[in-house]
Amino acid sequence: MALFRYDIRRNVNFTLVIAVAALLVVGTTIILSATSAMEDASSFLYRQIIGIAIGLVLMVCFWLFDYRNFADMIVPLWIVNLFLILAPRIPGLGSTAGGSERWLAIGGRHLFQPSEPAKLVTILLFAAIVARYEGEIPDLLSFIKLFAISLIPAVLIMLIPDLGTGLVFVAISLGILWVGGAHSRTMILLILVGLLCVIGFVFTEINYSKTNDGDGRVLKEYQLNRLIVFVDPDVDPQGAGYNLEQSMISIGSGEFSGKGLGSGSQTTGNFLPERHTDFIFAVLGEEMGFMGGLLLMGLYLALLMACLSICASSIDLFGSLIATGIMSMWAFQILENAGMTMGLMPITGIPLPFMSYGSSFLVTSLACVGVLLSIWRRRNYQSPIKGVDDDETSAQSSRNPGIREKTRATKNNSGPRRSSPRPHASFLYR
Amino acid sequence: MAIFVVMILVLVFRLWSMQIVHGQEYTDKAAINRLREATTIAPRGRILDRNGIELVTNRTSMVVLAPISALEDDALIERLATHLMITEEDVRERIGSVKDAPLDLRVVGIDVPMDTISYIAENQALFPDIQVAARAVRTYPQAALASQVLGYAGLISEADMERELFENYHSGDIVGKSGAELAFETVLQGVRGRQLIEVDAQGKPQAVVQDDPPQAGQDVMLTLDAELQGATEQILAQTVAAGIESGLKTAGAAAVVLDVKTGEVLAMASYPTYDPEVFVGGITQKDWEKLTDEKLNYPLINRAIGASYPPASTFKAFVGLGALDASIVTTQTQTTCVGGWTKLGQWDQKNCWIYPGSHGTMDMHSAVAQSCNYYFYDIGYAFEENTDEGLQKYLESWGYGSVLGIDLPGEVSGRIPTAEWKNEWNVLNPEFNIGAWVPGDGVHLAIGQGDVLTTPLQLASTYAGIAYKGKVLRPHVLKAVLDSNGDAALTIEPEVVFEPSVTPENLAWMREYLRAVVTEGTAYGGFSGFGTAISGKTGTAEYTGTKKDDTAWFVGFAPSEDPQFCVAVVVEQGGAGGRTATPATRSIFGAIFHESTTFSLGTDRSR
Repeated sequence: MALFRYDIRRNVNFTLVIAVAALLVVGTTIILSATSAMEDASSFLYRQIIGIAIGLVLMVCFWLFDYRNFADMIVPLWIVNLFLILAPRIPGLGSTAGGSERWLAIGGRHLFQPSEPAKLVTILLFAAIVARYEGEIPDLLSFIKLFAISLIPAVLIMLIPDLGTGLVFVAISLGILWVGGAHSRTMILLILVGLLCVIGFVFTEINYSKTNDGDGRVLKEYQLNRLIVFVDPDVDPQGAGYNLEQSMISIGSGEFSGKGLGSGSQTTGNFLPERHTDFIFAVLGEEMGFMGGLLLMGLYLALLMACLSICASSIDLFGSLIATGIMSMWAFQILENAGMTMGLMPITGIPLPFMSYGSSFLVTSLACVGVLLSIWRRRNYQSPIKGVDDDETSAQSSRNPGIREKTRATKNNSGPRRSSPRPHASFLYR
Repeated sequence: MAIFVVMILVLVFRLWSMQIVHGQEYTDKAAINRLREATTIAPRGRILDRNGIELVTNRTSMVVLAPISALEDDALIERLATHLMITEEDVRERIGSVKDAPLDLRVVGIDVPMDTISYIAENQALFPDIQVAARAVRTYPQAALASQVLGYAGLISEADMERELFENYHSGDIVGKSGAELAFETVLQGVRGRQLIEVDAQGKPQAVVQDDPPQAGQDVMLTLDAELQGATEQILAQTVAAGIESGLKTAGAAAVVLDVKTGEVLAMASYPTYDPEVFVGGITQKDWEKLTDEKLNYPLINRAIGASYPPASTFKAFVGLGALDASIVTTQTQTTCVGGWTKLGQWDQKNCWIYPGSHGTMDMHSAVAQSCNYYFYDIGYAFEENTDEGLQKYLESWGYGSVLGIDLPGEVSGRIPTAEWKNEWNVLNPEFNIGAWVPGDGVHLAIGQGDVLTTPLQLASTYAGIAYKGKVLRPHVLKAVLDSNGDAALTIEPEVVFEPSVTPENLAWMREYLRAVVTEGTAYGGFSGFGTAISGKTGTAEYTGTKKDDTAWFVGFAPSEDPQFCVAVVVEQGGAGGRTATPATRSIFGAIFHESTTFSLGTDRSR
């Protein structure tokens, strides 16, 4: 294969691959430990390994596929995206879990949660749209237009209802918009206005539930309770605050070195709910302690740094924006999931990348790794990131004439692009 | 880039704060989450008499136990009620009354017949989570013997839990409620067996982390002699029955037998008695009402320490000693008894018991022997005239008006009336105003009448003081606490609690006078023909202005030449001391010295 004609280092970002591999090993181990006390424990491990296998196949596919082809697929991407988001609502295809329609099912058999692959599709779609602005969103009106467009999938997801996943879409949008040329002032203003809206909204909701027995409230009862216990977990430890309380006890009681794999009393004693999915971080915290937490955080930092490096060295803005979207998605999910288990964030049901049990997001994440590798493989060798050999640029260009051609070809369709190296990586220094 | 570093740092800092800084707090919380304590009751120690005869021990009873969750199953409660033959309310009460210790099983039925036990054990489907077990409960091999001294044990109450004594107790513990069971609670109570059980989030036990078996409580050996105690109780019952038969309103009686040289209580009887078996497994409301019914004369009261009576003429020994000590009289001082004593005026005549007769010329020897009131009215009057409540102070120096500190709960102090006490009484009880102190009160006190009150134990202990060295020893019922080998782990040494002012000469004189009571005085008839030399004093307390019969006393010690035993007997509404109390005392001494005596009421009306 042509891919391996060159030094493998040029085609593979080792930081990314090693970090992901290590995360998969840690994640699988913790899932094994978390599910050991459950009925049918081995099936969890089995299904997780199947998920990893499917994910790896998809990863290779995306790696080999030139991501730049997606830039011209705005309409198909919209169609796929809307299908994935709306699929659970289509009678006969949707299936309910945990009070909301999150599954795609055929004949009552759960296939996957379509909102997870929709994240990747949305990243590709939105990166393609924003890339057309060539790194400069000229005025506020354009910004508002772009942001409004980006909110469409987010709002549709929140209506499922799946607040957490909806927020992931918002995080993706904000990341891509920022790197895609929005002014910092506009971004900060937007985030402030957004925060004010959310706070005002939550207070209105709490007031509604106090005064009108919940009439006129938008949030579901459990969603509101999660917000209330986030503020004060002692309100009702056996009710809505129970998950948070138990999660914090699990992590805190892990102390420095943890209780050992499979020996966490909170885990094996069934005190910790959703411990193989949403609260997997609490299992790690309890059984591996501060050392385990530090290890995981180190791996995540390496993962995100690899994403940054790929983003910075992308041959075009589109690649950078895709990397940014993936990076925003993972970063937000890490912050939200790990944060919620430690009481820093309100409780939502979004998974911890490469750790939580559940194939839908695992396969999606591995596909994202494939896309990132695809960007890296076609990178510009005059990368501002230290350690990348500048001398290779000419060689790479001559060896890969096809990429150049493709770039020129897309130019005609999507307007003029700046040639690399370009300052789209300047956000690294922000 | 900075954003990611900050984000990861925030998470790491939070981890560090939770796991390193506050790790111990969360570890404690995790332990509370997963560990539950379940305890089992340890058998209580036995209570033995001085010769090792079992007075209280444990027997195995078949009990039915239910977890607190059984309350949620109405059908189960109904089945339990039917098979245990109690009401559903009782079942709920027994399961639900204990609020804490959620994993401990509750006793629903005690002494359940074997066929019911088998039925429940074989039909676990009908009785989910109900257990049957053998439990140690209290049993009384000597039946009602010494029931007031031994007391009873029962389920710890919420009021008990607040007491310092029961500081580390669990609800569901069986604790001493009265008598020796309460007094020696700390040694009788064993150490509960303790199991630390690891549970899951549903509370289902997973593993036993720690298992400490229960340790039985220590055995307690009392100073009581079961045989003498039995005889004493029987004599009291006989006395009361004979009193009633002879037309008296005799109600209750008490007797104390002390070892003069050690203060050991050899027998302590109170009539009426009760059967302590009714308290085993919880007393029923009906039984409780019976035990607290006024018509049945409150059998729960230990009259030997918990009731007080005017001591009447038995007090003359101490009044006499006080007069000698204060040099109000000498052993030679003579007075002529003319029957009616009028030194406080003709309108306030106080009579000798022999009035309208008279004793004639009396010295202290004959005044004690004949129990002449006239002679002691003079002493009381002299104390009133010449001292500032000197008689009261002297009597208090013997321990009257205060508790002796016997190692049993419920001892009362009695009362020595003073001017101050009268004033206090009038302030506290304005509806029963008894007026200010008058000299006549002091005159009455000198013959043990009026407002003075003493317990049978006080009289026994103070007479033992006269008999021994003029010192009052602390009376006690605890002889030893035994270790698991049956050896004494703790013994009690004699302890002087009151040292009144008395010379050996005066003490010898008084012993001679008390001997004269029996050889020539008011108890001559009562003890004629008795083999052992006895010294003592009769007493008859009058209840003027009521329809009650007099309270009869006899307090004495023997053998006179080297006193070993002191006996005090009081018979409520027993008439004159010589009529009921003296023959009862004779019978008790008979039991002590193994002399056969036939019990018959005295005909003597002397006091």
